[in-house]
Amino acid sequence: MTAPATRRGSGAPTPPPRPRSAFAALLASEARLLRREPGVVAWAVVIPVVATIVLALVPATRSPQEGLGGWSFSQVYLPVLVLFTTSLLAVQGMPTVLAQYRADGVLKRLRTTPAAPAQLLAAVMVVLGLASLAVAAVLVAIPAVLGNPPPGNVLAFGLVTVLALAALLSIGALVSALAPDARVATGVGTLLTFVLWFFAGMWIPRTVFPEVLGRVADLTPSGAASAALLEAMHGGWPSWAQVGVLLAWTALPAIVAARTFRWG
Amino acid sequence: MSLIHVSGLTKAYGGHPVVRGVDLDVAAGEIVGVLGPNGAGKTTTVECIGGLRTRDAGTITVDGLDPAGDPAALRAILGMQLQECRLPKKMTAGEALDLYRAFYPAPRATDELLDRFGLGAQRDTRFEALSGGQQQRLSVALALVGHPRIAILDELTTGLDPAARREIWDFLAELRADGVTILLVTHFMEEAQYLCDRVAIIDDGLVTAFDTPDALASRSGATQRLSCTPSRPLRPEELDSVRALPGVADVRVEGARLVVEGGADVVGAVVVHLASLGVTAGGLRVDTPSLDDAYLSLTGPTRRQDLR
Repeated sequence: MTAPATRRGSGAPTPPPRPRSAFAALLASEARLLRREPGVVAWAVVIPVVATIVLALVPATRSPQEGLGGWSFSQVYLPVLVLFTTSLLAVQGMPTVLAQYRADGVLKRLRTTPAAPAQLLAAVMVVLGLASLAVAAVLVAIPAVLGNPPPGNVLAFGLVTVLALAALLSIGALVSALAPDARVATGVGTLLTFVLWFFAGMWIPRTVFPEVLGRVADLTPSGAASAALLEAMHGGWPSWAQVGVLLAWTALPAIVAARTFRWG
Repeated sequence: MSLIHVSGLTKAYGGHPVVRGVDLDVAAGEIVGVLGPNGAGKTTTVECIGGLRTRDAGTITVDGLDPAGDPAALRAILGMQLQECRLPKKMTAGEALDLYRAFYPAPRATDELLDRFGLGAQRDTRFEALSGGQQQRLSVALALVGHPRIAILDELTTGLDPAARREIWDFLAELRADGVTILLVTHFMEEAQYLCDRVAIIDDGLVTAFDTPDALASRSGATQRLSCTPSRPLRPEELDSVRALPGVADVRVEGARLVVEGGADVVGAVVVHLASLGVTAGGLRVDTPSLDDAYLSLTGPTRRQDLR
């Protein structure tokens, strides 16, 4: 330490500047580690961005279709692609990362320091959440830049995206808590992600779901979110039922996850 | 006044007692080794001291703090290196140290630690690409980032080559000079003998011996064994005169070699006596009882019964 001795005659040396808070350091570290996963970047960022650009450029997919109730494929798939990335990062990515951290003793090791392992958990969720929202923002901006109509109610679109993200992170936390090891965590997370994609309308657009399937989908987080996002494309607001479904999918898994999560 | 005080510590997992009443006192500035067979309760003991596990019964104070009641205050003064704790695969050595620095108010410099642990060239190497020894050294370095007053190191040199092990020992010796108190769980007698002021031998959940390495070694009952090639063969009466020396238990001739067994002071007495006979002791070899002998005699099943 090289504190200036002349400082107001006080004998106390100047403490060296503390680099940054533990949580800020964990956030920066997790963001850096996420960027080093080329598979995750390709699937969660590159594929949906490229798909959105293609859908917005190709005349057949950017024009309204009779079979889609007067919507274009570009519009119908925008909610699906937003939920594609969010599901992938929250429900498949988070359990994979956390279960590996648990297996490697990363969480246990943090318990030996003044930083709490819960801070690492929070950092992982914040980084994956911000990455999801950033991709969502880009996906919304692309069609607008390329001359397609933007969502009729951008505020509602953003609100539902955030609610859906909370629900999916909560489900990801539950998988992280319950999976016995990293392999199961990845397997269960991947399976759930496929189910979520289906109900979001990935393989059959949400607007052409048969009646019964539509009702089931309305009770799933991705199905409710997808319908609410389509509503926002129209300029409307989500229904209270849709908001309720998303809040329930946020609260219940989070409560179970908080009670069952193992650190060591 | 002991810095770490443990008494009557017990811990069971699923009804199976692992620690059955451990007592331990560590003074400030001491390096204390914890030795014992696998499953003896060493790691459970130090993890209770470090506040990672809650004890079933007994008392623990670490610098006046109860690890179970005041973990936050404990974290600031205690650094721990754990067995089988790894880092994220794609984190580099430098990033790991920088990250851990952010957890402490006045951390050591990253470069200082990298240099001390011979990792200067590995600053930008990812954890998955480090050798086992380098990973281990990084793990020890992380335990010391926060300038801890107490360091608990569990199996710190397991998997290291002798040169790397010696480097870590040197650094621990420097830490001792800084007044850091160290609790060292180890499998290596050599390590305990080289580094530790005192050694606790834990077996089957109890401390079966707690003393300096030398005292433990001499307590084992093993003898000093001296062998040499005398400059001329000794006559029978001269052999008898060696036998008559104080502390000598046995004298025999094996080919050209003279072999003498006895107590701790036997070597000097024999060599001086031979010189008085005009004989020099060529190729002198002395085998002293080691901590190994003490360990074996203190953890063997029969001895274990005696000590209870």
